[in-house]
Amino acid sequence: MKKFLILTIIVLFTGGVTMSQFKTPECVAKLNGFTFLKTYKLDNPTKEVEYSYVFSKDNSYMLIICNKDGAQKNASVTLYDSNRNMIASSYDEANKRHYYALAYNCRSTGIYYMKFKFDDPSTECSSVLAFKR
Amino acid sequence: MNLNHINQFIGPFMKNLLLFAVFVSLLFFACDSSTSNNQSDEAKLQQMLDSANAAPQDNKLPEAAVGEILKQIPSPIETSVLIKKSGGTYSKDILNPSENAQSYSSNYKKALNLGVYGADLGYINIYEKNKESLYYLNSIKSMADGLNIGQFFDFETIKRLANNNKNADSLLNITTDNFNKINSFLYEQKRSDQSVLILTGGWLEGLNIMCQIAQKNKNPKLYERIGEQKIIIDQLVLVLSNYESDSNIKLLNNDLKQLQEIYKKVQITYTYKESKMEIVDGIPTIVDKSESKVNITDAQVVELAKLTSSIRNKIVS
Amino acid sequence: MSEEILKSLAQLYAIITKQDGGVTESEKTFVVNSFKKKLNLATAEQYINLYEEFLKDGEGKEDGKKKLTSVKDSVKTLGICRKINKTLTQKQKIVVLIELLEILKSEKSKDADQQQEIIDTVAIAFNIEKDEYKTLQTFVLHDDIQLFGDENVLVINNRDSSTIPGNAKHIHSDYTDGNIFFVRVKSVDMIFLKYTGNDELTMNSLIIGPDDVTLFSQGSTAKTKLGGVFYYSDVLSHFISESATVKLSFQVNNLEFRFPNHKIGLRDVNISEGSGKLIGIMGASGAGKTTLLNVLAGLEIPYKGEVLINGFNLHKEKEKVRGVIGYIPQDDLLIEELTVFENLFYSAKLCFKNKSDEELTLLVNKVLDNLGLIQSKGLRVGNALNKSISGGQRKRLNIALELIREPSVLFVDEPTSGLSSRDSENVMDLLKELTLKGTLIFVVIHQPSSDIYKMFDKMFLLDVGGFPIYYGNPVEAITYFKKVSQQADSDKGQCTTCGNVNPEQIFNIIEEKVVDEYGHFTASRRLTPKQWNESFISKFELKRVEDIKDNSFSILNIPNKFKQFWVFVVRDFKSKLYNKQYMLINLIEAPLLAFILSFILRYNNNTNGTGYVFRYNENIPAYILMSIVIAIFIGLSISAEEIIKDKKILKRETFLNLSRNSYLLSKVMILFMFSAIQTLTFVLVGNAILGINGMYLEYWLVLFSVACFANLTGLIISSAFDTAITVYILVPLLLIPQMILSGSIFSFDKINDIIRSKDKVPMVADLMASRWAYEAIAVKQFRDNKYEKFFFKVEQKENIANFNIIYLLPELNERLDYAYQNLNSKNDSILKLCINNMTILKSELLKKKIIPTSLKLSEKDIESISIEKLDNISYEKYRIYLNGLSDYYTKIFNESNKEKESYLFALSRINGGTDVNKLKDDYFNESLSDLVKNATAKKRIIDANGYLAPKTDYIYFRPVERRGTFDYRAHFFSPEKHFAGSFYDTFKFNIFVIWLSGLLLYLILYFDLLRRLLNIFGKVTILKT
Repeated sequence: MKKFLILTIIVLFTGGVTMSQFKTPECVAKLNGFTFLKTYKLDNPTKEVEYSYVFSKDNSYMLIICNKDGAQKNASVTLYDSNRNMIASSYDEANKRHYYALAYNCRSTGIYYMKFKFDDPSTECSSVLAFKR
Repeated sequence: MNLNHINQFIGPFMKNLLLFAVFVSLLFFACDSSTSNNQSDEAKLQQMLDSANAAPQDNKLPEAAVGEILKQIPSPIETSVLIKKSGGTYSKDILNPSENAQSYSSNYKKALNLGVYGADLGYINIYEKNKESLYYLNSIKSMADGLNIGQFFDFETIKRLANNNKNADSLLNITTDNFNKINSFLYEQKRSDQSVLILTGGWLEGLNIMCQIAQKNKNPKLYERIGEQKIIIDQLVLVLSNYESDSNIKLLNNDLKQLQEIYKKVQITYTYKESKMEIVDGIPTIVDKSESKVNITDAQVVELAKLTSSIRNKIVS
Repeated sequence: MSEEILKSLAQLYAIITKQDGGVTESEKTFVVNSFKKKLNLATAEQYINLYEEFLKDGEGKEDGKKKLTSVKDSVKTLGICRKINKTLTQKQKIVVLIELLEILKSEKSKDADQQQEIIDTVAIAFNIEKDEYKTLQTFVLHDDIQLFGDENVLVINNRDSSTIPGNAKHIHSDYTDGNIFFVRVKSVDMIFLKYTGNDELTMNSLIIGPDDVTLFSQGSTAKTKLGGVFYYSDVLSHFISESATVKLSFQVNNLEFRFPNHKIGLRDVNISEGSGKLIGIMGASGAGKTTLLNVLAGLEIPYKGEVLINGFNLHKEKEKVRGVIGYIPQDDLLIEELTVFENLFYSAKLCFKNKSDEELTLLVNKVLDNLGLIQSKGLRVGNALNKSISGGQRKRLNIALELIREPSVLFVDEPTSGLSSRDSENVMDLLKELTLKGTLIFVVIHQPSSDIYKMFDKMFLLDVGGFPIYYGNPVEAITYFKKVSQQADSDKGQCTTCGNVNPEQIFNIIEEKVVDEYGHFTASRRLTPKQWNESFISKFELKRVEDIKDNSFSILNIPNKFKQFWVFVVRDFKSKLYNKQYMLINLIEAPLLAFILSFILRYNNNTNGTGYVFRYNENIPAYILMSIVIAIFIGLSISAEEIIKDKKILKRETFLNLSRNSYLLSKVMILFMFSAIQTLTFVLVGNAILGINGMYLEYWLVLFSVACFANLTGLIISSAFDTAITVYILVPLLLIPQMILSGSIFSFDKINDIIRSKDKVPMVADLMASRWAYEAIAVKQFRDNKYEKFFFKVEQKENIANFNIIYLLPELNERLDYAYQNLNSKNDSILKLCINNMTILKSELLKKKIIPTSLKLSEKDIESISIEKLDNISYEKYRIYLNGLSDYYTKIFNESNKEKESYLFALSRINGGTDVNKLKDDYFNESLSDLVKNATAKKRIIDANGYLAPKTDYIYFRPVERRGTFDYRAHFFSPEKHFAGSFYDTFKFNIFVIWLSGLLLYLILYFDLLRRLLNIFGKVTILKT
């Protein structure tokens, strides 16, 4: 009887999700005032993956690359606008430097494309998109 | 051999056994009669089903394309943040009451309103009305369970966070993440029609909230954002037309197409300028120099607001 | 005698004596003496004068017509007789008639024609039968033995029987001189005596004169100076010995009885009697009277010796003497609620197979009439607090219950205790009459009055410790004891003037205490029981009656089992019906509880704050449980006392050898009827208030079954225990486990590991009727209500597919991966896990083998899954197979999902538009749904002994795992049960189980197993001490 009363107040959800999903707590910790939007799974090494999103004017967006052990040496994200002009990349070709994030202050609303690439098959990798007004 | 002998032979014990057997068989017949009743209703149902056109899904767009478009649609959270930043005060009345959850019986309604409540939840979270969020989380749970995707909500964690005002950010993050996961799952399970509905619901609710507040505030930023939704509605209509074999979706899409018509009058102009990149705090930061501009009149906003409201009310009632 | 009668008598005397030429001196003398004998001097004078006045009235007028009886006189006579008829009893009239006849005799000189005529007229007017009158006439008027050839005449003389004329009876006695004549007036059951001889005859110590015709009353003794003693009962028995219907011999040989603790209760008892005798058993408290009665009746088994009835051993050959014995215990065994008539009627119905109801009614009325109960036949018997009939009537009714059967041997335990003296006499008269019909009656009697004491034919006296100390004529007993204790006037058994005997004297003598030197009584007796016993044995020798070997008496004519059953039912039902309090409470209890329960549980739960919606009532699962608990409770309490109440009546009816089965089944039937009504009213009220629609019959079926189960349980404990209190204390012990293990208050997953089962309902819980009932209702309510029934099948498909996709297949994948990765581990525990994982994989895939997949995994392959066979290739194969399964289930899910949508749509359109939501609100309950789906489970799938068991969506999963053909076990809320190769709907299966266990309970009841078990325990503890 008591059990059913408790049911009113606390509706217990199921836990134990057994989907093999890559959880992103470490990435979220780096958000610093940005609000989390999406997680992009990168599970196809050596192949480029493209995702798109509508960026809105007056928002700042940040793309963070998350690796299990923090090493983002082998991953990069490149941003393109709606006309597929390249805007920026987290990989500095010139200095052969990988940055772990990319930020974009948007002033024009439209569909933006993000291309992801990572080389190391042994690690799991994902990217988090966040925004701030 | 007269009756006495028979009686004596059978004895009351056997007679009672007989009665028992009669009783048991009556029991079975009674229960069977209830199932036969069931069948007559079921027969009716079957007739209806047979007469309904079960045309196979006519995918105009490939699944992958649908998925991509769906992922593009911005999260309603952005809308909520915008509203808050524009100085809007928290108003519970513009949200869909959480009690309505009980009246959604079809998958169609459930999916749409899952999205609606998701948007409402974001709104509540932005304004850090954590206590309210519990009710909405309940409704979301019941919607999700009804769609067999309830397992994606780690309700215990969420509830814990909801009880503590300090955790607004975490709460927001987790719920957003959960919604993302749901949509991914549905897509993987070839149930993207439900995913579409969720996203449409969420988007529509977001738009509705914006319109309601914009009419009070007359904030130009809000107006602008409303206008920008033109981009999205085009995508939505496109995707939804994939699923028009479902009569409900077809009706919905017709409504959205009407909205699309109004949006045709809204102009978005785009000026391109090359962006500038800087390294800020160790992160390459790009400042966008291009600009998009939206031409939208008060009257158009009013029109949009009205239509949005009516479509949205159809969904949530 | 009243004034009226005396006046009438005077008149009659006058008329008669003046006939035939006027009154003579001897006649006058006779009349005078007659009055003087009856009245005191003064009153006698008064009536003598009156007589003389009447004489004068008629005289002197008709000189010439003296020869003829005047018509006037005849008319006057008739008038007087009519008056007398109204006031005198028949017995008294006979006495008057005899007086008149004696007048005739007194005057021998006259020619008494006219007188004779008048007396004839009187006889006719008194409605005296012609033959009887003739006999009486002869008896009074003549002395010649040759004239006494009538069968109603008995002669005692010292001559041979052959000298007796006609059908007259004869007793030969050497102690008589002359003839003692007895005449029996059958119609009024009176015996008169006359003595013609030279000896002095005394009756009750009164001297009988010659020519005296004296009434020989019950208990009287006639004695001659020569030493002849003649008892009333002996005389009477001669008159009725021919009419005795049963030839009986009752022999008790060297009987010894010991109590369970081996103390001796009876020592060396010897009795020998024939039919038609009234034997008294007396003794001090604790002497063993009731024990003796019980042993003789066959209720107790003797330690030594035997009791033989017509040669058959009562204890060893019970069947041969069935129906012969009747037993009337001290407590009355009446059914309080029924009327006097009904009590007897139903008892009679159980005794007589072939009599119709009309015949029985006649018989019952006759018996009631005989016992003087006919006036109160419509009164309820009542109990000590609620008397409707007097104590005497109760006792008589008790006797009637045995009498109606006319047993040949009757045992009565203290029939007069607690009765007024008049009632006592009535009762004893009754018994005495029975003996006249040939019944042998043993009566334990305590402090009888003088009259009652004299009624007995023989008296058996016991002293403390079971010592027989006297067995013989009651009045002689006094003489004997006085003699032995050397008392004066010991030859006077009874008071000479009043005829009273004082039985107390006997006990005073027996128990006389020794006086000490101070003149005080000590505690020790002058003569111990053993000494009395020795005295008795030495002085008396038992005269054995002839052994009769005739078993035609055993005519137990009980009706067949079904008829018995029906009588029990009608009787029990009537008695319940008349107890208004009982009926009212029983009928109101259930609906009242239902009202209270459902009223409290119905709360405004609609989301907008107003109104009640069935769908959101979270108390429904609790209501179901409470209904079941209430049904059990009521079922138990109504039946707990049933058999205890009847214990006494059952004891009495053991002599009838009635069928225990019939009795039990009658109880069962009545209780079931009550249960049916109670549960029906409960369901009608409770379900209606809570808005549980469309399930009335289903709820009722389950609750009725459960209540019947409780009824049988109650009957068992009622049969095993002797007091109601014990039973009621047991009720919580029976009820609480039902609540605990019903699966409702405490989930079966959260109980002690010893009891708990991972994937099925614990066996302990399977013993509880509540568990079956709760599951039955929950499953039925959820699945078959008017809303859910449309969706259940498709939901089942959908949910099972979903379960596989979300839980089962990922789990299998995980386990497979684990096993694959740790294939070559050196760690034992890890290896164990791997083996377990592979076992699980195999068993789960085997279950799914019927699912078509286009993948290359044959049944043989699946059966050979093991850790040994796991390698890269097989691993890949398995993965692909699992993925294929996932796709398959995804497809099924989506299809079912769509199907469900279309059902919903169609449903809303049928019947011209149905509000589906309202349908759901009215018929579907969310809390119950959560319950049967176990929606709040944290772990939704567990490893249960080599396979994966779902811990959610219970209602959708069939029991798959079976340990054998007869393995019926399943998880809680399973929609179907498996047994012997087939699946059965849970609702029907569960109800069937409850009834099956009911049957089992009935067998326990029938064989009284609980009582036997308790007895064994009792013996164990005794042994220990």
